[in-house]
Amino acid sequence: MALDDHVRRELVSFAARLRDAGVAVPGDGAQSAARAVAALDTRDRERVRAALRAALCTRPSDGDAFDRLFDTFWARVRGENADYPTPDADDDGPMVGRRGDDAAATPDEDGGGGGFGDGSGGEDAGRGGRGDAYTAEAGGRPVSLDATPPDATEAVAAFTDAVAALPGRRWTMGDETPDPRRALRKSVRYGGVPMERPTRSRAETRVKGVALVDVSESVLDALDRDALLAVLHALHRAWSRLSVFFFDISLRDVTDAFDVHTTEDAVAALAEGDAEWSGGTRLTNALRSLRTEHANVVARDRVVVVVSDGIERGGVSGLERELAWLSRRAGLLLWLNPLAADPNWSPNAPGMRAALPYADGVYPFVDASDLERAAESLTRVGPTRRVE
Amino acid sequence: MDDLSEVSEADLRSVFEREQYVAGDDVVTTTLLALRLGKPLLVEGEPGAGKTELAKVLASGFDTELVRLQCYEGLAAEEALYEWNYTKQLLDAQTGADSVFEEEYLLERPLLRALRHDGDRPAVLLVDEVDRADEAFEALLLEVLSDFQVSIPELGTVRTETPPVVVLTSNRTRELSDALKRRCLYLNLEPPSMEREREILERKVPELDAAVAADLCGVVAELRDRPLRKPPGVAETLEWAEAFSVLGRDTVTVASVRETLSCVLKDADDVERFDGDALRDVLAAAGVDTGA
Repeated sequence: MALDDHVRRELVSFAARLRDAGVAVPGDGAQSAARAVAALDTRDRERVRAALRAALCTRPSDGDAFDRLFDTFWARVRGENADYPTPDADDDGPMVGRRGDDAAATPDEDGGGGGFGDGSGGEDAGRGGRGDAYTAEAGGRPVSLDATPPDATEAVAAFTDAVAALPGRRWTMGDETPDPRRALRKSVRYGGVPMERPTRSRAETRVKGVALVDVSESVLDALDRDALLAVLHALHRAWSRLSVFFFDISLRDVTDAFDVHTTEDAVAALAEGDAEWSGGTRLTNALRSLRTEHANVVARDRVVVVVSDGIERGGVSGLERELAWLSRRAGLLLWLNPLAADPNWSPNAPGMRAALPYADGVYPFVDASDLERAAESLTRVGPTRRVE
Repeated sequence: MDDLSEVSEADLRSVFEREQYVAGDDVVTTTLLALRLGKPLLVEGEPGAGKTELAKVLASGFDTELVRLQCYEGLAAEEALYEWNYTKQLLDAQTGADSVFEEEYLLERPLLRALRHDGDRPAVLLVDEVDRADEAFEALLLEVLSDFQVSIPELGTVRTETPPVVVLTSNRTRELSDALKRRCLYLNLEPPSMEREREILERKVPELDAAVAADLCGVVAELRDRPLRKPPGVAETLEWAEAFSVLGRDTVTVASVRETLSCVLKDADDVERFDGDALRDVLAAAGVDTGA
């Protein structure tokens, strides 16, 4: 059943609006959508909705923006005079392009939708736990170095080796074990006599990961800030891919700042990008932003390293849900806690208590030497939640 | 109805009905479009949502072969396309065979088998958990799905007039490439509502008491609302219902839930969290009358 020009025009316009709202519409989405609608026998609202969703959406998070705009599309197709809602109209929630600077309008944003009452901002803000010396929200200070940053290369190399040694399945050339398949294949050229005995090894791939760094005052007072920056910079250089996020009461993607030669340059880039050491922590909000706005950086082949004391100022009821998602989605979730370096430390902070069941390993972290100890422990016993 | 591109919505609904697959309107419409347009169907959703089952139902419902390619990290072309039977080649080479690169030495792997399927209707090719495979394999898949042909240097090109019905499933453990997604119709299988889950239990475990089924669905819905390492999918609900049925439990109590909890929670940490009190809370929140 052919489509008339009016419907075609509206489909093209709908696909464009969806893209504006952050939906990952394929390049030929409008064409696919037209074919899909044309293939329907009955073009009632729900069938058209299902057909367009199948052709234009490619991620579960696209659903909200799609549903929000579909009503307008449907009205317009039926000849009504309806305008698409603007993406940033009257909204306090995260919208496309809201984040500053380098992170603006990446295609993986879900388009927010808070302006249409999706209730996404309803986390309880109840206070809980320890760390009462720190306020929930305090003013920020520019990121800077106190002295020459320590050399974290060795510690990071040991940590990287430990993480990379966790088992994979892919084979590559090497001398670990005989490779019967290649032996048979090669023997064909010698009339079936296995003249060569090739071997193979498990492939060692470079590590990919995500660093989530709590830059609230309670964390920064407990660790060596220069070492933290040096470690992050060294990790960024050593790993195949490392996305770095700072969080306090919100989450900021600062990966680009570490894409430089020296730690000093990284600090300069952070200062230029208005990244700040801050005051309060909203761990739940930060993890929720990671899930809704940057979900694609967390995957099965990624190691997620959280640097945080687990002191959550925003209540922990939603925290477990976010941590459960992170733990399901990531290949390995390691938690570096500066407070855990204290021999009398126990995970009493509500946020840390909530995090324990979801973290694969918890390690103290004050400076680079702690990273070496974490590497040693990882190599010896694998990921563990027992802080040594 | 040998040509599946001419299938009607009523035909498809009756297939789902016959195979006892409870499908919402969006699933019916999207699957129908995949069949009519000849486009692969990319199905995403939580584990246990019924993604793999959809492909199985299509194959058995349309009485055709299901060819399954289970993806995993390191999956290579020879495990997906074809491989030579080296042992046979070796033996025959030693006994003076003219050529050991003939059809008889070829081992079909799932992609090639789906292309060479010679039944009345096209095969259903299930590429399961495609997100587990590497990006390199995704590129290979893309090539095959674009032209529905495979080139075997020693034998020539294998192409098909009737491409298979392709269903790809993904648990979203990593983002798939835009190129692959562009070639597919997309279906996100949401966990079913409580009502729909009850309907599924009624069909799949008919021997289970309706009140028990309703209680189990309520408890599962309540569990899904809690932060679990591995939230239960429909498959777990079914398994749990079967456990109740096999054990002959006719009421949902803290004790009966406790003894069968491992059927619905598949992570040791999750199971450990639900001691007697926690289970009592869950049952109360789900509105289950335990008589306490």
